[in-house]
Amino acid sequence: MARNITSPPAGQLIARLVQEGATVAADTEVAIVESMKMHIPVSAEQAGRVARWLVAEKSTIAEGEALLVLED
Amino acid sequence: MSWKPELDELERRRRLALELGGADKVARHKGQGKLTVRERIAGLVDEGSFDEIGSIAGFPDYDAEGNLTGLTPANVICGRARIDGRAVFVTGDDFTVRGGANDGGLRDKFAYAETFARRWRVPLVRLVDGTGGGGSVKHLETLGRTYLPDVPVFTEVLDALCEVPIVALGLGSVAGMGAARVCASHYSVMVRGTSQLFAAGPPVVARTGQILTKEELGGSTIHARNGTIDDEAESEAEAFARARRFLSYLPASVHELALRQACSDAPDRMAEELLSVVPRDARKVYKMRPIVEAVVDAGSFFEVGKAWGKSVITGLARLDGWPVAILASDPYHYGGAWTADASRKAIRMVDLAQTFQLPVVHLVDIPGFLIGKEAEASGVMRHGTQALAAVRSSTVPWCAIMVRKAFGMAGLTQRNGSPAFLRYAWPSAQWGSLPIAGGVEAAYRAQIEAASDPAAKRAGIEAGLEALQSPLRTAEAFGVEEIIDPRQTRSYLCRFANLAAPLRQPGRPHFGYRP
Repeated sequence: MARNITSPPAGQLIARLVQEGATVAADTEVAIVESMKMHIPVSAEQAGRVARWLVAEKSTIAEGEALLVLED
Repeated sequence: MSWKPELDELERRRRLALELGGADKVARHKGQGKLTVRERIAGLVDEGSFDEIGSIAGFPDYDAEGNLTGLTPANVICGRARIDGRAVFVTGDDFTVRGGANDGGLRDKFAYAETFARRWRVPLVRLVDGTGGGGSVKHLETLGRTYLPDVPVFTEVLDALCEVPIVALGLGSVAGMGAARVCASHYSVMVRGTSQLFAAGPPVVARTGQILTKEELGGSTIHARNGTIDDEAESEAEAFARARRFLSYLPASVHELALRQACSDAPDRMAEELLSVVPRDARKVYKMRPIVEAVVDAGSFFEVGKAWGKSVITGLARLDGWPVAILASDPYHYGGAWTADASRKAIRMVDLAQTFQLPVVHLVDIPGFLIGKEAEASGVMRHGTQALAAVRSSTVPWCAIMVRKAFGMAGLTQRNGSPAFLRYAWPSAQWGSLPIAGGVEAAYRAQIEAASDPAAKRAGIEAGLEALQSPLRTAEAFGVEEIIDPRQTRSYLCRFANLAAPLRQPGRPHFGYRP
């Protein structure tokens, strides 16, 4: 099943930490979002494989915006 | 001559009652991965401790000669029991009789089950599985009329929240009053996949044009993330374990005080890792949960509400054996800024602490209330101000560990309204009515704009102000009680808990608990 990893805060995507195709464990940090002047890591809630990124680095993102697609 | 024949008749009725709604209904219920109400009670309470009340109450069938031919038990099963050796009262809905709806119950028994705990001043655990409300519309045909919605006992049901701890487990599809009975509690849990909760279920909602499954409409994942319930469990057994654990921190009622447990963790244990846990780079986050674990009695932290209002972590723990309530910032979520949801979650924990006289420990890293368009749309200042009211009107002893930031109005939650509060700051602490970076722009605009190199001017002003931001300067003016070595935090907190214990005052809370 494919599911999106979303950014909890609104802000700017400053770093992708995993490549497309990579397998991640639950709680792996997959991205850094700058928000409230802080660098906030976004983690995978569940394990999976990174199918594709939906957002480029340096993009402005909204609260709850999907960052990448994770597959089982 | 003895009364044996009558006792045999009693025993016969008890056996019939144990069959619940009948073998077919029980098999169908269990086929959905759910336990029966009696299995649930057995799984929740100490073995052999269930002392049933109203065991043969129900709907008997008699033949023309007055001989009993069958008995369908009322679909509320209740009784006294023990959890970890302490008295509780348990009431459970039997879904196999009329789907747990109240037309399969006896009004007097339901009212009794809901009020026993407050009368006898023992905790109440509700095992909710059914609507428990109006039941079927078919009932109206029997009645020949409609009626104003009222559950007379509900005034007492709600007021019981000011008297005894109430835990509610949603264990099936609960709607209407069943849903309200889950929410009208101090701690609520749903089981992932087998429990749903809603004002009204999918058939009723379909009339509004929304075609949804039970899970899509009101699954535990939805409600654990919006704060309708506190936590979700992976199984009924886990839900029972969470109920037992929650109650272990609380007194039997507001008329008693929470008990101290033996503590094998040294109160002066140092936590070496706390010296470097907060990054020097102000933009970097760190994990708060390991800090909480490091300062409370080993293994005693019980987090509540992990899936919602995530910028504040809430839970129960022990310090030198004394139960306390915990608030702690999570910088991973909005840098620790209080959102509308975080405010609601903090209110819930502070109200619980005040009601049952648990001293509060607050590990503070709060840059403020969340700012921005979405935050305003969510009503953050209304909920945030309610949180300030809950915190500042609470009178239980309070101890803040100032871990990093405390800014703005949200920073006021560092202390409560108790005269017995203490604030210990780590050297990483910084605070103010507003953060320097944002404040410089507003306060020095004219000077910055007039400068030949505005950016350099702004940086220069900021650097000058940053130098004033050391917490040592605040402590020199006695603006904070003490700056401490983070490694010694536990020993300060354990001394706080011992100092706080005699200040706890049993009795009804000064406010009406609103679930």
